[in-house]
Amino acid sequence: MPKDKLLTLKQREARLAYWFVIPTFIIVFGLVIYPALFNIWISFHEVTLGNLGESGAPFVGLNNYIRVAKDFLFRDALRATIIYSFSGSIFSIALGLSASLLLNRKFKGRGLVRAIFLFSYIAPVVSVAFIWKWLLNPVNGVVSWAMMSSNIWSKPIAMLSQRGWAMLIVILFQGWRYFPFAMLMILAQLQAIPDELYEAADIDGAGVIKKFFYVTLPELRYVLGTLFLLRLMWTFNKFDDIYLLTSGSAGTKVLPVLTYEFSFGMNHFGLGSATSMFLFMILGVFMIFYIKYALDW
Amino acid sequence: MKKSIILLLILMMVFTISIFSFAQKTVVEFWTTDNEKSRVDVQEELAQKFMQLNPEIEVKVIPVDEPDIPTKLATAKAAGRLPDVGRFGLEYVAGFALDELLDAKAATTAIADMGYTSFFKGALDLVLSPVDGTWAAVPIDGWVQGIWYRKDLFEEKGLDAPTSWDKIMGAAKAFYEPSKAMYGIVIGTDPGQVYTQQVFEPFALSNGVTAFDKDGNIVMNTPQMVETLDYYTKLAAYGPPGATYWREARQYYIVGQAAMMFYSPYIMDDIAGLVEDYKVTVTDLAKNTGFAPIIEGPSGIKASYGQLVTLGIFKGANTDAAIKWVQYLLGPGYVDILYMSPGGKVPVRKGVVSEWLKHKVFSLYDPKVVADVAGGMDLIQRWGFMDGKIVPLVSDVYGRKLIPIVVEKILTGDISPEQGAAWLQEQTEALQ
Repeated sequence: MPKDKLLTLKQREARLAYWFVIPTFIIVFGLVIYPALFNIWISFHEVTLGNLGESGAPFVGLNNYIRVAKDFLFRDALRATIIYSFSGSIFSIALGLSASLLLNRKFKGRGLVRAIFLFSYIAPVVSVAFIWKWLLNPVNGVVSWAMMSSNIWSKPIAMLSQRGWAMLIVILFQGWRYFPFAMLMILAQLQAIPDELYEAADIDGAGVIKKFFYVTLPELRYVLGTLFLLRLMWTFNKFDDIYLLTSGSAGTKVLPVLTYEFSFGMNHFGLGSATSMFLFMILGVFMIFYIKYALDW
Repeated sequence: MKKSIILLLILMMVFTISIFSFAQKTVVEFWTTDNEKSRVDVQEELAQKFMQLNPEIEVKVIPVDEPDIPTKLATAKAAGRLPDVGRFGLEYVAGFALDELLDAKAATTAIADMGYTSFFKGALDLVLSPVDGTWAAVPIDGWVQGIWYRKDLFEEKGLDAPTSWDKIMGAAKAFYEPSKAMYGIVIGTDPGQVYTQQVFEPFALSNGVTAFDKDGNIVMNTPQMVETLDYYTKLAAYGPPGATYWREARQYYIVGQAAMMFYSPYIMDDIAGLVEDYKVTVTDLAKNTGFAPIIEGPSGIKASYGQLVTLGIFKGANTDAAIKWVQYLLGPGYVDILYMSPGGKVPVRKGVVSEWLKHKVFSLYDPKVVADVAGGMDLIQRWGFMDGKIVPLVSDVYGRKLIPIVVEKILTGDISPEQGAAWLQEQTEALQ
């Protein structure tokens, strides 16, 4: 009798599992792993439009990385990226937390309020960014009109063009746009907190604030921790939100915008890839520490 | 029985497949940046007419967003699937030619067949190939940029047309009344937009600043450049607050909040109120608008900025079919192409000008304005295109937005114009 006919049921099921995984594996490999590896390869070679897609691009070692690090915009972009990502993520989570606390218990119209809250997350980014730009127009925008009429401003301030203001606006935009995501995750966890914990806290004489800090927050620890990691990862690589609002002016040029300018503004794909590798390394290092210490994985 | 049915099926398959390969048409893939729906319809109609005249060729009209050209071309190149013909602006031509993406021989053949004397010399000079001394691409249309200004308001104040540095600055100052939401001039100050480069360049050219000399050396750090940066940033003070580009130029002008602004003749439709989306609130704005395409600098040099749009035939294309399509677009189909946006498309072939001028939009303007728009092609000057030589590095200067960035730096007070000129020199050298 041939040997492999003696597979146990368990072994046969295991074999079948591999077959199920293969389609996903192909997709992940083709769309994620291969491009990432190709990107690494490009960052070590001099690739321009002329030799893209062909073999024979010259190997330049760390030259691209050095050129990027010495670039006049690199340090500002790095600083802007870190400030933007951290502040934006924290703000969207804070907003999400407040919103989820509001929606935690039933009230009339709760479904409608929840739907309205979700709007900023699902609306197309181009429309929303342009509406914000209109609102903030220093001569004809509503914000400027309101500030001037109530005499808070003596002359119009072009917020999207001034250092400091521009960063503030893009952070606010980031928080406003992505807080629904945080809200939904936190809401799910909030609903799972057993009432007994709150009752026990009541018996111990805890007020609302103490209940929040000693019961709610600890229960939410892992959700908040994971949320921060996810939001940070996504914001770190965010390109379209900032590009649509400010085109990277007034101190908001973050590394992804710089990558775009290198790769598609100058057709210098080596530099663009090197910049994205910097992003990857910074994010990678941060994630390793974060996962180990904040999330106890 | 079963076997013979299978055999019959196989024979039928082979037969149909071979029919298809005999009827195989040559495909010409045409990427166009005229991607508004109405324009795509016009181009598809032309393609239909062309295909009737040339049944063995199939033309595919593929609309592309202008800012997406670099990304789409990069992807196409990496996949080995470049288009056959592409429509794009002058700043891309030098870069693509240097990267050896364009088939200069095909372009030259197309132009020579149509007769190169039928083209405006100014247009042909701009597309000379840096590699061969032939033409790198085929010009199709162009525009000259200039100041669109409120002739009526200028007359009220007794001001001359804004054709020199002094006159422009004087007029801007005269009209600047921010408390009444009135601004003198809208120029490019946005550090992320190429518009800033486009508005700055004619001022620079009118002061003798060409950024590159005829040997291709970088000459950014000159006293004339410092002077221009100083003038430009002072002029910006009479504009609306915040970073401005063409969107603000159009917006403020059609609601009467700006006395002057820079734009190409693309704006003629908008100013005349022919575009639904933009409500012109000034009565008879078109009749009251003047056009000043030439700027005279302090030393008397006159300069004008413009764009040339070209049709590039890519290497590895179906060359003969591509050449035929290009010749059709510039021949029987040319007036239809120009009418897609008559103000914004100045013809590059002499024979078509009178036909083109018959379009309705020109009747709404002062005849002098129309004459200036039509005659623009021979006036254009550009950095990096001098005496028939192209300096490819200019497309990197554009791509890296060096001028928009340095303008912002000076406007925020970070650096002085002197430091700005030095920085430009340093950064342009770093691009090499």
